[in-house]
Amino acid sequence: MIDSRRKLAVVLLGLAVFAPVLAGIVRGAYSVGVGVRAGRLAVLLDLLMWYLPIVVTMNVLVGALQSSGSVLNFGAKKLHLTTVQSRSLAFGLLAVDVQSWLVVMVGPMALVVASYAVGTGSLTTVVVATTAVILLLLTAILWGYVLGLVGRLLWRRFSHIDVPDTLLRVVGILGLGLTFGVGGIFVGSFAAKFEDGLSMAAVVPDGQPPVLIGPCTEYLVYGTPIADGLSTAAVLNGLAVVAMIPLGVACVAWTAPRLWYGTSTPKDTDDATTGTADDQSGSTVQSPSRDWPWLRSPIGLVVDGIVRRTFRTPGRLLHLSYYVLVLGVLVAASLTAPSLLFPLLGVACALFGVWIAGGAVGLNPIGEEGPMLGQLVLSECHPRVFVRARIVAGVVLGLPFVILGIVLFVLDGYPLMDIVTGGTFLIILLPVSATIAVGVGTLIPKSTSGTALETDLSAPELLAIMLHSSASGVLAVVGVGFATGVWVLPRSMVGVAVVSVTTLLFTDLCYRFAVNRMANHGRRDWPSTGYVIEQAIAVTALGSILSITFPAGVGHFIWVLPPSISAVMSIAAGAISWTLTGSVVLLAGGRSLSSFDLAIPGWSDLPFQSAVLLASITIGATLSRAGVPADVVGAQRIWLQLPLTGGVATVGIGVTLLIAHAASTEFLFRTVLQQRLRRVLSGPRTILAIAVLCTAVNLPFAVLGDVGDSLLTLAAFFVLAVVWGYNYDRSNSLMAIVFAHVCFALSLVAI
Amino acid sequence: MIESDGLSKEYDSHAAVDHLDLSIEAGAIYGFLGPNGAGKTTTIEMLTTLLPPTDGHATVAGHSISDREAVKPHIGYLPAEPPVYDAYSGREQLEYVGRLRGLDAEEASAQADSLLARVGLLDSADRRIDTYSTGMRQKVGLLQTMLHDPAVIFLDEPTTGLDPRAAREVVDLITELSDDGTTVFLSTHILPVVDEIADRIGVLHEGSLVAEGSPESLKRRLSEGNTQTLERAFLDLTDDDAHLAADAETQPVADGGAP
Repeated sequence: MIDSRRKLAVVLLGLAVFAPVLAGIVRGAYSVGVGVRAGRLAVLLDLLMWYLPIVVTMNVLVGALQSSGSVLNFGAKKLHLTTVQSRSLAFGLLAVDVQSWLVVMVGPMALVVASYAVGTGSLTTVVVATTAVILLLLTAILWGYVLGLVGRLLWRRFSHIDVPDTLLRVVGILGLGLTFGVGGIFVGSFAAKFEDGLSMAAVVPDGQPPVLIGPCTEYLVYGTPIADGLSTAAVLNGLAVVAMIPLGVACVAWTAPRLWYGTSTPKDTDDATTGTADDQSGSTVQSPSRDWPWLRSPIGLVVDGIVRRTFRTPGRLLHLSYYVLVLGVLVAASLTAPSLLFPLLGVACALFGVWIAGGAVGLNPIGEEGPMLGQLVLSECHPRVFVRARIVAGVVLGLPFVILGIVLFVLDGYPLMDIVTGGTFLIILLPVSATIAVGVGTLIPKSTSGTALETDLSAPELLAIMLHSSASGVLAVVGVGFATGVWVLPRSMVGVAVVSVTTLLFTDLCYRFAVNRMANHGRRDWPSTGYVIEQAIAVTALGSILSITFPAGVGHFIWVLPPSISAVMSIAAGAISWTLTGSVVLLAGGRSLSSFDLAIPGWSDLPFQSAVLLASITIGATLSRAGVPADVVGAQRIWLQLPLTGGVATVGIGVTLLIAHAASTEFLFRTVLQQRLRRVLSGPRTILAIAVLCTAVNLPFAVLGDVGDSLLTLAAFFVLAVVWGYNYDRSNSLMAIVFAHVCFALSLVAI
Repeated sequence: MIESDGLSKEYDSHAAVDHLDLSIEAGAIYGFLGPNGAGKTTTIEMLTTLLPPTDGHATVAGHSISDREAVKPHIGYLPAEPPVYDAYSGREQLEYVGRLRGLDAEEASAQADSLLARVGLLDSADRRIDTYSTGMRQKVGLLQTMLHDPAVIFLDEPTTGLDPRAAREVVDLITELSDDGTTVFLSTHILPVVDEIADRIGVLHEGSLVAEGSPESLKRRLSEGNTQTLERAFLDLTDDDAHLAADAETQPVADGGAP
């Protein structure tokens, strides 16, 4: 699943950025468990009884969609089929997919349930509920998998049309959408009834859901005050679930080999002389001579080609179903809350437009062009034409949906000014979404396996879809919130400015990155100076964001620990976030961690190093004596957060954290960024650029204090960064810089 | 038409192409031979500007390969895997590439029809390429390198995987191109093809040009009055043991005589 260093880098970054959200969900589940322990949430059992079948059905459908995973599509197919026993091969391939399910679907759900179970305070509940949810979801996905395989087999047996995969995917997606819809209606019905002031208990339907799986809910509350033990139905259900696992595995082992020896799209086995248009009338493409105005421009020509090819292979658009599924909840919920019909549909349409502006044709530009990439590079058009064409094509596809969304808000009678500002923002967001998609898709391309003749639909990487939809979705919500004044923060203008600048920076970076890769035929090549500088700014911004979100997320996860340990771990998480950012940039750039420059300067360099240390300590002492507020300087912030009791151990921990903080930040700024910038800039310019970035990182804290203090602090940081930068350029030793940084930090807190 | 001086490409300190010197005249068919991994494709990608060399220099059609914009109007390139869009018909593919190559709509359409007729693909021109056979795809790939009448065409294994009839048609097309004055840089494993149509041959081994000359001169070079085949010459030239033993004697072969 994560089969490259670049993907690993993206996953790690995503987890770190969304750590607070993930932690919030886990903590929320824990709170529910606490409520159950207190006997307050007796209605939970009734709710879960209705909710669980929906979750299980969704997992069955996801399993059916996944049934074209490893078991049907695996590398070196002919080799495996002729060397490995069929049953062993099926088991092995199924194990690969099970591993993916455990990580992507079962694992997160199990974590949430385990957190809830810990909240109940019952070890029995922890064991039973967690085990039950793992087994139940695994069984659901496995049997969905079986159904998908059997469906394919039946289709092949009884149909002469060789398109089972695409068709079954569509059917599966529609089914999944329907289930989401039912879930949405379910949620919506609650929302509507809550609006009427009813309690949760009053809105839960009477009796049990008309499905067999409902009693399994009892396992999730077993051992808590709201449970009365296990009913006979629950025991029977549990036994059935366990028994279905080996049965499902056996079904896969029986079905898969029958699909491996299937047919493929018929191709001429002879040459042109034997194949005529009449023989293949279904594949005939009429290409009347067209003289549309936009075809006269290179971008128009390429846009036309991209759109035409995409719609001729509709399977390429199947990944859009992910967006439909998410938005299906809004649509279904709107049906049960008539007062919210237009706004919910409007949001769904607008968001769909923003998403498909990038998601339809932008998320795999390198992979979709495939072997044609070289021809495009050698054409008369500059590579930027092909990147811009995908952006334009995305906007063309997304714009109608955004306009429809705006119209729905107009019909609902929203204030005109809000519609104008919000709608304008969404339209501006279309090219932004498309550009981010092209950048993300270039970063994580998905190329088709097999030879040209075996080329299958080249859908984008799921990771790319998630990354792009998260980024563009957050931008849409935040941007519309600011634009319409829904969110009026004390520093709203600062918020707008930060969001705008960050968005512009990352969007431009995505564009440059995509053009660079396109121009270099999909290969990594040394980019332009502007691109490297912009990348350094973006990496610094990313490091700053992570240094806030990751410790916050860690703080949420460890809230039950004693405050002293919690503080230490949060500070350590700050150091980890800088290290993580640097490591990810190294990995994504194809460099290894051997780039660490741990050499120690020689004795001949001792006078210079001594001068650097003296300067660092002097500046630290000066800042400290000048009474600069402690919350402005990172080292002092760290020191003050620690529950220092004066003991040797706590002081040791504090010093260790200061060293970790210095090492992690200098690793990013020296080993990663300074080395990178040095390849395109002269030594002095590189030093100045890094010094500006180092100073900018501290800007948010510095502006909180007095103007004089802030200027003094920033000036001190800038001078220090120049000195350290010069030292690094001269000695190429990270150790020397870290040592100087630690001496500076100690002089701040000790003097 | 193609000149290179010390052209080199290194990957992680491994020399894929090591100081390659070439001089190919206009209108010639240059057979570029070498075992798998010898550096043939790397050489072609450098000459077509798709891959920057780590050292050395080359010109194609009088333009430095460091100037892609200057070189690309004069070259066509068919990689080992024919670069086509499966969702296009053969005609659409040629028209699209023709437009990208700077032809206007009418020119691209006329040129596509003319070329498709030339290789007998006109009847299948409106079928989607994903229904084409290997040979038909290869022909479309080859045709799209010719759309803009380039001075030099680089072909990487153009006949590999084709049946004898399709291979013959492709070979005939290459010969016609050369007759029309186009320089053809032909990388292939199919030695009889090179033997038949190449004016000059270069043998690449482990990134270095170990022999160069006309087919006849290469055959004579290693013959001792016995079997004079290009295959024998190729095997001898690319045999590591024999190559090392004769290292001191290895040098480009002058046309018309063995060293």
